[in-house]
Amino acid sequence: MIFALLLFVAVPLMAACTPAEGNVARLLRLGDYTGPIAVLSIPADQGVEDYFRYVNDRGGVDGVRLIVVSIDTRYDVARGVSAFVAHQDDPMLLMVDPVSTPMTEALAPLIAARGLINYGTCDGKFQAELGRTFLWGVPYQDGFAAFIDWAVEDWQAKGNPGTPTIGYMNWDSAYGYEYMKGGQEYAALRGVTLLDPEYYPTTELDHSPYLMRLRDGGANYIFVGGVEPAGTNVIRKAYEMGLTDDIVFSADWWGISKAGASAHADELEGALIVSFFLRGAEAEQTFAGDLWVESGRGALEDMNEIYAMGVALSKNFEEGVRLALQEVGYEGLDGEALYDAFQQLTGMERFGIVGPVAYDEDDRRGSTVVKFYQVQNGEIVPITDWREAPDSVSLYYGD
Amino acid sequence: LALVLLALPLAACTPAALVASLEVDPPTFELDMTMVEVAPGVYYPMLLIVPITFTGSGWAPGETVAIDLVPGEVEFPAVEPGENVGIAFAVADEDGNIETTMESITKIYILMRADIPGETMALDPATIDLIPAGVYTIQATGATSGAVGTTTIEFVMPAE
Repeated sequence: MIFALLLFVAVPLMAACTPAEGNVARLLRLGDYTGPIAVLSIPADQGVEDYFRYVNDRGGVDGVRLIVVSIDTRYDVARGVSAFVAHQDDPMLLMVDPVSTPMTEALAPLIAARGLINYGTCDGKFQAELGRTFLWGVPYQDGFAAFIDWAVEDWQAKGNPGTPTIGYMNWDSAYGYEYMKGGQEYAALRGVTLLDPEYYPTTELDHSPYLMRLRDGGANYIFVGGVEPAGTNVIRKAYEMGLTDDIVFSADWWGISKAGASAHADELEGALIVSFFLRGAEAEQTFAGDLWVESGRGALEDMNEIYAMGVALSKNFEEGVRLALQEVGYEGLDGEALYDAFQQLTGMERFGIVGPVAYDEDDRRGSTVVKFYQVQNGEIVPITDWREAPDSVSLYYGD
Repeated sequence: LALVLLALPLAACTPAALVASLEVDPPTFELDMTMVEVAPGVYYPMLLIVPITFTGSGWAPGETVAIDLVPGEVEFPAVEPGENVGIAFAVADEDGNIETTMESITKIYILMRADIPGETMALDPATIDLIPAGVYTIQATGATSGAVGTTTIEFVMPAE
């Protein structure tokens, strides 16, 4: 009887003493950890995990722990939508990070309806719409415009008259199309001949027909999109076809990783990379490199540069939560508060990994600058400083 | 056993389970799949070609509807045991109707339980492990209304 009474009293007390979760702010990442773009998702996620742990080990953000919930969507939009619906009622979910253009587009209205905010990769349409989607970095079309500027300079520096002819190849997908929504208009503005875009299936194994059309069109420069190793594979094919002798190839920021450059040094020699985050050894020399080692991830040379980008994105969340807490306290911390806070991050530095934050009331760009890199002897080396990426979003979508 | 997949069209449409906040009429949810009996051994790529269509009505206008497979005891790569897995989604039109199809990537992951390696970005036929025969519940959830509709799909192995 006494035992039963003790049990009756003790059990609720024990339950009451169970450590609660405490004050938290959650980010839902809908990544791809076992599918076709895992090479992009995994290092970015590692960067987020490590940075949140780094912050939490130091007391969190004014006592609020940052939590990342990572769901493996395998690059399948249907999984992303279902995962969001399953988590949308979490009161401390503030932000969602869908790691694909189609998933971002599918979820954006749902996220807005819930009063949350989300990251979008780099689709300019979200800069044009000025909604609740904040871009990771520079809009794709602005990065392409920066490439056009660089190509014109390079062309003329080599003593050529006029402007070059430029080709464009990318996945036959929403991501691939986005580059041309403003990119084509910017090419016309610069007086550059831009050949018809070549869109290839993500599953394409032989890129030679697309490359031959661009060669026959007289391309002097070819910009290649596609998440690693897709872009690398295209340029390797071009090398095999002998095209890299006369045509300058450039990958976008999801192409040619440090590992790819090292593994295919001869084929990629001279290829460019346009990037809104630091690449190669430059990325290793930032706080992200220290965090990588401190977190026991392995040798510094094994750090994928996208890990550093993940760290930079985490800084946005940390400082956004900090600002929101200052404004509304923990009781008022929600997606709406974070939405207001993100628009006040303007100019914030993120360990030098990316350019200063451009977010404000009229801007959803993560930053506005890119750097150009080149593969040289299997290494990725910078060939420019940060350069402003021209606004080409407004050329297509309007102001 | 020749692993040939024969999918049967669904006649049944079970009544929707409703949540308290539902403000729309009970949604209906149906699945339609052209019955295709394929020769043994050629389920791939046939399964990718056969359209699997979901239709329904009674949803909130403009709401997104997530369509999940309820795995039961069956395991799927990258799905936690006991968790549902998304297989399609739709946006209801102004009359609350939905119609959508299952994408190829979903068929590969769910019906074939296969991998898409990043090196090729294509289905690796060597990894195909067909979904076991049986009746599976499919659940549709309105993201705004919370309304839920269910139906079932049966996969059978045709006789050799």
